Amino acid sequence: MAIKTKRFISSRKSCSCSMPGVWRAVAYCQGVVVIFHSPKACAHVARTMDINAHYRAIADGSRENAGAIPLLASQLEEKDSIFGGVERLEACIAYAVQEYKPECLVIATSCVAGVIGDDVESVARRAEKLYKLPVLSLDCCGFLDGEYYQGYYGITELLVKRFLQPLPRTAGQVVLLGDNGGPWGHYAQEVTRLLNAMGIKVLGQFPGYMAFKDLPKVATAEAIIVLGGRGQTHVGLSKIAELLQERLGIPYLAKYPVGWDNTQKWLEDVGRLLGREQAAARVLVEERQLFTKRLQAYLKVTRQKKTVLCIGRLLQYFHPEAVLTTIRLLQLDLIGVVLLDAYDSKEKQIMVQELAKHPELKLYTADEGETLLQEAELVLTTHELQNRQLKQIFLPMLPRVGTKGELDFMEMIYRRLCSKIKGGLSYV
Amino acid sequence: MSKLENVHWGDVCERVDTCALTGAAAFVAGIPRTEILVNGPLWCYFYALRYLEHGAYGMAQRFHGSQPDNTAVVYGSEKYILAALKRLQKEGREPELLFIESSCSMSLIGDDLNGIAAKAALPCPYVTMDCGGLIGGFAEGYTKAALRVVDKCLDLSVQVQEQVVNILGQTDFYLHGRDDTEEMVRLLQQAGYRVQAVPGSGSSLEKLKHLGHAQLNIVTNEELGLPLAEYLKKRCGTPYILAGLPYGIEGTKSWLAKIGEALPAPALGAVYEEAEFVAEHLTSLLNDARGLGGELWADRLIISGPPTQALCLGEAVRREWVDTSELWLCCQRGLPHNAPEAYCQAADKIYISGEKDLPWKDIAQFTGSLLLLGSSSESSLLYRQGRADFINCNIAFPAKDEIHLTKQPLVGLEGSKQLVQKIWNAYIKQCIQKQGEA
Repeated sequence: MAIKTKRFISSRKSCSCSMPGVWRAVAYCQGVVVIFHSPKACAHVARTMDINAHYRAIADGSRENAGAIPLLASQLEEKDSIFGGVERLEACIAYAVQEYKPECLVIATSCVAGVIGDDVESVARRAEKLYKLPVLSLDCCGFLDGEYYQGYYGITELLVKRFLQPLPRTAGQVVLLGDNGGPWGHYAQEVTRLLNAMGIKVLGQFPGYMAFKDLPKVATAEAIIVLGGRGQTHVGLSKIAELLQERLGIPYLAKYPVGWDNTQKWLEDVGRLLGREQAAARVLVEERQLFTKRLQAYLKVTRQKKTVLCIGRLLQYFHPEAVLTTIRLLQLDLIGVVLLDAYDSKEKQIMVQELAKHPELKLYTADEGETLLQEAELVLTTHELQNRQLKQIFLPMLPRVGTKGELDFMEMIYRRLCSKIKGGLSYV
Repeated sequence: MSKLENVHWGDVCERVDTCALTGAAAFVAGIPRTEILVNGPLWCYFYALRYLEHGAYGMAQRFHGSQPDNTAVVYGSEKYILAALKRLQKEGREPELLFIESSCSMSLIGDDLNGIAAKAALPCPYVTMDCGGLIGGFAEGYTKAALRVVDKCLDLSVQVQEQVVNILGQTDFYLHGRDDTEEMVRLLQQAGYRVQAVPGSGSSLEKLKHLGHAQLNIVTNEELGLPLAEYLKKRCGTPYILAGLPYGIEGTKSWLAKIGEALPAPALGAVYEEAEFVAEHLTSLLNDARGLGGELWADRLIISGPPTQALCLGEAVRREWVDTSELWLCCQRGLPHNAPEAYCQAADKIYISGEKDLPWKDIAQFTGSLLLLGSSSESSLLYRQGRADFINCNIAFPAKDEIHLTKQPLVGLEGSKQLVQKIWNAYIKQCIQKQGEA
């Protein structure tokens, strides 16, 4: 019997919506108001994301120190599909200006408005003149002309082009670029910890987490540190960093400190970028000490434990190298790698080629894999598997970064192996 | 701009709702052995799925998506729907009913869902519906799907039977919805009624087919149940009553009395006897609790939830369990027929989300003691404004700060115990937390 995943996803494109991307690009940017030109329900989805992010931050032991900015919807209804929704959008803008007195308005356009053919850009230009305030709009039209990241990067690019001008730069201060759960998320927290250890101060996190009036301060940074990732995240953020360098002359670092090897390289790169090689070398020694001490403790439990890696995510979103390094460091016995039924033949070939760089790996199909899983003491997987007897650890789209991120991952593997409870899924 | 004068804009981040796509799926998912296919983008499908999974864990196996890409708005979504249906057939899935619903953008392009489904030669009956956010939120989707599904299966030849009732307006996808349904069915049966069906909350298609057996339809959540009650009155001649929800012990007795006025109950005494026992039990335990923990007092009590729930709960909490200077109620949407006062006269202020929102900034700055019965949406608004010293109990989704594994009805006599327990435990926990901070 083939391994079955809990949820089935077949889409390769149009997997997400641009509107939440627009929202996240300014979600905590005090002074801005966002309007979704959409049915009310689309804004409720963004609100759901927002609540989830809040409680995730609380569970992570962090505390948000800012509330989200107002999010309005033009509340398109069925009748607007005949007569258009422009009038509705204009009324909503008028309300937003009167009620919140924003310094800037941002409009995201839904697929519904795209199908109807509303000219949102013209509405934005008229509103800008009428209310004498900047109005940014993006015609991504929900999932029609882009996805989450097109919304996010589109608005970020507009913010850079309209509101950032070169200023004298201050040594020892950097700006973080990207989201990943904001300043209270594990990514920014860990990067900030490592930077602070090198004597570098974080000025803020751009775009979504600086007040509108503070945006010009981005130009005073000595460097931009990209909170990168894989695939579109990396490409998009690198482009924005490139744009900032071009317009403001600020250098940037767009490396991804995921896994222990990459974290060490990242520390050295930061040192070189900011001319703090000595500080970086000192921090590296401290981090290695910390890392080695914890690793030794885990090895007592993890060594030679039979492990299966199940992969069903595209290579652009999941590069197996970091997980394979963790498996090697913990001396787990990787008895096989299962390719789940989530690929088409071309995508599968790409992942197989990548895994072929490690000739010692034994690859299995989903059909063959179920038997293999019976032997496994631990399953590391990109997709939740239906078999509830398995001890699964979910490999997230955005893994934790830095020394702490890697140690958190190892700690989870250690705990799951210590556990006497047979099955279940854990998230890192 | 005149026709838009009555539109209430406001910050969506201060409200809770879902898309009609979710509401429609929720009604169908409440019928055993049905499956749902969403013809819409993965994003819309996935958010509906995540919501539904809170109410029923195995939803991913019953709730499917066609997952079209952006070209579907130009070339149509037929190939995606057919591919999804083919996959379901290949997996050997043969639900008693397949419900196919289109999201808002897919609805606009005019694909003929019925024609496409016919082409697939499905081995099971199906119902199709254009849906999505353009028609509204959870309640609009639920009610529209209820009418479609019942219209498909209703048998008009069935005879009315003595003492038979239906409960309309229940969903498994309100917090503890199925538990509430089971408690209401238990109470009605104890009172001598026979419950034919609870559409959208556990009753099979076979039961729905025979909805016409009922002498009376009891509408609980008005925003969900009223359209179906009106439809059944028209098609079967069944009268209905807007009964609301039976919160509290006295509230349960009043609820049964109200139903009894429309259709006298043969054995009301049995329920009253149980009510008396529970009341005595709770009074005695609460007297003890007061001795240890002091008086449960809130300078301000705020209840926020789906409208019928918030209103009926407000009435019970204030009249039976919690003393307060002021009770503020927030209905997450308006009621379709009744004025709020029909369900609650104990409130000092009633807010309707999207018409007149709760003033969250003022609430966060309020210096008195606060008891919040709501969801994680409302509690997150207070946390974010630096207010964490309030007594908090979830009575609605989303509920991100607790998990729900056991049956916990909030209505009826069992629900009275649960609610009192929930509120008192939250109060005691808050006292201890304050002590720790001092």
